[in-house]
Amino acid sequence: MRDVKPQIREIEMEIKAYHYTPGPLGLRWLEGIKKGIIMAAKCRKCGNIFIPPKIYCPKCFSEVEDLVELREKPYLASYTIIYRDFNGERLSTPVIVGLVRFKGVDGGLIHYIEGPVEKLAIGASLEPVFRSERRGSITDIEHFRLV
Amino acid sequence: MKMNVYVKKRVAVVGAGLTLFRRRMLETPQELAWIAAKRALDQAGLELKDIDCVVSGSAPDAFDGVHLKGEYYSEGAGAIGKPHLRVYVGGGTGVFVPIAAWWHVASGLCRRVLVVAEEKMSSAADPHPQAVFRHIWDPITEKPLNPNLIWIFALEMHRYMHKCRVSKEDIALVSVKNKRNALDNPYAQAGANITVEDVLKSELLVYPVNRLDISPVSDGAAALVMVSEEWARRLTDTPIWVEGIGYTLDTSYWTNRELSFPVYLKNAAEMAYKMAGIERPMKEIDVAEPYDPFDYKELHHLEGLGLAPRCGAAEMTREGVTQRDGDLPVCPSGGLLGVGNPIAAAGLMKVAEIFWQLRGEAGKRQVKKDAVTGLAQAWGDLMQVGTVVIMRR
Repeated sequence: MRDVKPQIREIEMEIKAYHYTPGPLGLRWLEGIKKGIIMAAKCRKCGNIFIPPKIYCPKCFSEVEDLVELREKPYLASYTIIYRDFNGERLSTPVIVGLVRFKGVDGGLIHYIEGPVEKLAIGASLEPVFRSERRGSITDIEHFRLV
Repeated sequence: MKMNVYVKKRVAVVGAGLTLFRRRMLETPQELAWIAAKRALDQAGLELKDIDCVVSGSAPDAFDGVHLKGEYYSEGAGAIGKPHLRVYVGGGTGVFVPIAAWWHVASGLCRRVLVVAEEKMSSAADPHPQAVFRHIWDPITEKPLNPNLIWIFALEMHRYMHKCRVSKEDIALVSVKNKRNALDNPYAQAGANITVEDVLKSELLVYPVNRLDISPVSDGAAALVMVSEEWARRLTDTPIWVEGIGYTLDTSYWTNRELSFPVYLKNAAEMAYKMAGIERPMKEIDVAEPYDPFDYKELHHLEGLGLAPRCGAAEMTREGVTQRDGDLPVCPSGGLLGVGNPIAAAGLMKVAEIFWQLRGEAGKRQVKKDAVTGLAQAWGDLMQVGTVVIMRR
């Protein structure tokens, strides 16, 4: 009776590529990372310093125009250890991913963590390790190293 | 005034804001939402801390390329720490956002609501934002043919031209008018002085649709502040009252509609007129912003709204009735054809335009007549929903 089989057709995703924009302040922030500098946005009105930078202050909703360089070393606010890859395959070397925060700065960055395992602890001090070839992306930072 | 619903609180618009409408804006979706929201708050004389609730709207997540984009842009829309609702009825979203905001205030739940619509269509750059619509079709009967939205609009346009004996020249007059109106709009993307001949000679995309019959791909955001009566009186001498809302669905199937007339809109308009106590819309509506993603849709929608006789919108347009200095100015903003079409933001832009027109704040775009009552409208879902807002000074 049911001689019409359900059809399975290969369906392409609706969009092949997205072109995202980082925003005017985000663009300057990425240019900083390309130069090996991590900056944060600073609100003139309420003094809030935050990452990632945006043209408005998430705290007081005012316009934000300034970036300040973060000179102090960041710290590890939390971390996790990844044992399997996206496809479920066991990784030969587990990957550490951490929540990287800067003292006195709202927000943070999720990034890879490397360094001596005995130093791996919440609160540990970190420093960014930049790639030699940089293109203005968050991955210009290869990882944060435990110090 | 006759009302068909119980309204606990009367609702007014007290501020509006727009971003530029452009292709490939550098700002992120969050930042676009913030620019519009901040401008609306500034006009209302409020700060974000004064806002009780946020209602927002945006079309498919796939445009911005961020799933759960309502949650993503919510910070820019001022929603953090507040009750937030994102609504979505496809292209009809922009006018549905103030409808949903109206519920929030009319019910007494919130007194001061920030209303935001955002769209960043140009993120979906490859191959074209149209590809977002590849999966909206019936998977058994339509999807195997790989339809495109413009095909369907073309079928509707052709049916309308045939049933109403409307020429391409008459339809092109809408594009000419709206693009010219947009020259006076500081936010507009596609303002231009063009002729009917320019439209007819522009590239034929899908018969009978030429390139200049269609609105462009845009990024942008729009926002309003909507408040209860006591707050409206406190904040301004010239609140604009939301007096009628309407939204209804027609069938999901194109094949089951008489394409020459938008029943989805007739029903929504009747709902809104009844609420606003309007019995003769042609005489009582002073200025209108019907949804014009294509030029024929302005004519089609004027008829669906009862602002033109059935098959009579082309003649009205030919006679200049719909010009800014005419008896019924239509799309004085420049519409989607002239200002641009960041889907949800474009619909809310129309409501903002009516707000500014009724306040006498439309600058060079101000209509000649003394406009007291205005209407904004959008169209969406599977091209089956009509959304209508009626406002009065």
